[in-house]
Amino acid sequence: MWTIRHQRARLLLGCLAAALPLCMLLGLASGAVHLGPGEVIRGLLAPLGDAEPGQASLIIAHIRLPRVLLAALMGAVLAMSGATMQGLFRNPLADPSLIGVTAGASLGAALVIVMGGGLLQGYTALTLVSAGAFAGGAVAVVFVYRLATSPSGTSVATMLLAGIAITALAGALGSLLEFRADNDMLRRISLWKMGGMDGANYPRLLLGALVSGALLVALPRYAAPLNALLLGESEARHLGIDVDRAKFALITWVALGVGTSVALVGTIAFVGLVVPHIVRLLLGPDHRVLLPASALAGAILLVVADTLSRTLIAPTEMPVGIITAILGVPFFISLLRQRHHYGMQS
Amino acid sequence: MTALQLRSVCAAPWGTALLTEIDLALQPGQVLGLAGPNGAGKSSLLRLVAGDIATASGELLIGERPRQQWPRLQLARRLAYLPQLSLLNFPYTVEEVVALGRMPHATGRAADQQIVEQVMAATDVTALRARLYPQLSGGERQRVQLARVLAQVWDTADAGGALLLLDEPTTALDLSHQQLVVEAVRNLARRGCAIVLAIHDFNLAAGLADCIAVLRDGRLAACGPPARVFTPEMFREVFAIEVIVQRHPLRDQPLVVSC
Repeated sequence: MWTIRHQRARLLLGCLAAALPLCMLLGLASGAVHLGPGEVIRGLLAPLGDAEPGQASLIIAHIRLPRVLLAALMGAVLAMSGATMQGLFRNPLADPSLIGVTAGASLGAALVIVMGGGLLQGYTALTLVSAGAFAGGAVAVVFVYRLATSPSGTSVATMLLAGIAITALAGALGSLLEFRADNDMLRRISLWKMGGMDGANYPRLLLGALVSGALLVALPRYAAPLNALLLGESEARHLGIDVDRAKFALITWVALGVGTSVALVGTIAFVGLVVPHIVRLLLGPDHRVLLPASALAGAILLVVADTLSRTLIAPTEMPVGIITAILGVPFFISLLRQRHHYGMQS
Repeated sequence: MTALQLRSVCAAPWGTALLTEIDLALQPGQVLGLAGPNGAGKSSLLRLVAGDIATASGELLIGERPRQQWPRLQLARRLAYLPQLSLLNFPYTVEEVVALGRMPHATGRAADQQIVEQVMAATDVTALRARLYPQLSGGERQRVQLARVLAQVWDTADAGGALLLLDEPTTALDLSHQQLVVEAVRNLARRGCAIVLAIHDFNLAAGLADCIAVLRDGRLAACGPPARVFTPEMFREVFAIEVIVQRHPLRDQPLVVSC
């Protein structure tokens, strides 16, 4: 039973679980002001003691901790959603944005930015843009789902095509809005599209934690149905899986997770597509391992990317989406070049 | 108790009739071979019993209970179906694919593993266990998928009431592995599993099946023991070919030779 693949899975899960806290500590320590390990630990423990909070603990508590936590949670959500979609669509190139949620959310955000104009400033603006993004994503997913559902069930192939159609439509409407927008709005739209953790604060972190907590509990419970679905939908049905219920539940959870992540941190491409792909190349397609390992790897990638985005050209920030791509693509390409070792078809 | 019973079943999932007025009954331990030209409805009949296409009218009973009244999981424990084509293109190992057949059961890891070992031995895929499924040849894939569905009903067969549906399980196999499939099917049937298989090799069917159902244009053209069904007249009428039917020199079964 405990084949090489199982041993490798245990080893990798252990390494990832150990690496995540280290990366998060590194994220807390780095930034415009560099903090030593001792300062980070003291800063983290400061709220528990009675001592007057120092500068280090203020930076950690108010700026870096919510940011690092949000990055970890959203990275986990995106990567696990990607793994789920790839399983559900039986396509290793599927991406959580396939069902139209990202495009819908971008349109919703652009709509709020353009309609709100110069009236919106600061955190109110951020919150309204997030709400617009979430609403846009939800509308798009409902639309795609309804298009692909007939009395005989939901066709994932139709869903893929409907997702492409809705993404194109939302993109066109978004371009129309950008065409009407002024320079300031354009800059805000395009920065928002690149994604970033700079809006992190405790209320947003709480929302993100609630959604990702639910997702991290719910999705692994569908590991067995996803494993069976890789054989084909009717084969899964013959194995006793309630395929229609599983499909509905999985799409709802992914839409909620991706919608929330786009609303909170903007569109961060790449994590949802490539992290599960890399994990699958290393560990195989068993979702009992793939889902938790993807969550951990996605969290690590986004925490590291966010840390780099804050430090590379400090005090200015780079959009995190650029970093995730620059970090992940070379690794991914090197795996693709040796794909025959991992059983991928050419 | 009958394992499977169809009473004047019709099916027309896409408008045109695929199956018309099918009457069949199968006892536990019996093997039913489905023969017929391409498009005659062999696969449709299997898919109907498996639940992929719905009955338009008539009754479909599995273990004397209407199909739609079976709880999903209980049915999956006694009914397994091997389709003609497999869509799997994810890099599962052979052993992982076979173990998926144990998914509906709650027999525990040790018992599952024992069954996986037995069915892998029965289909001669034990040596391939660590290989990746997408890297296998067509015949090897067919044996792995067969092992998966055997694993699904391997222990329920002993309890009686299991039903195994195989859609052309031997098409991609060499002769010695065809014989292996025959042995596995016989083994399951001896233990009380009812088996329906669509098959194009008449002599393989004659040696394996207790009963042959010949389909033409979605209707039953003939049904009975191989010796009674395999006649030159039937082959001329249904398949439009001339054959000579002799007795097998060694075994008590008809031998079909094309002219």
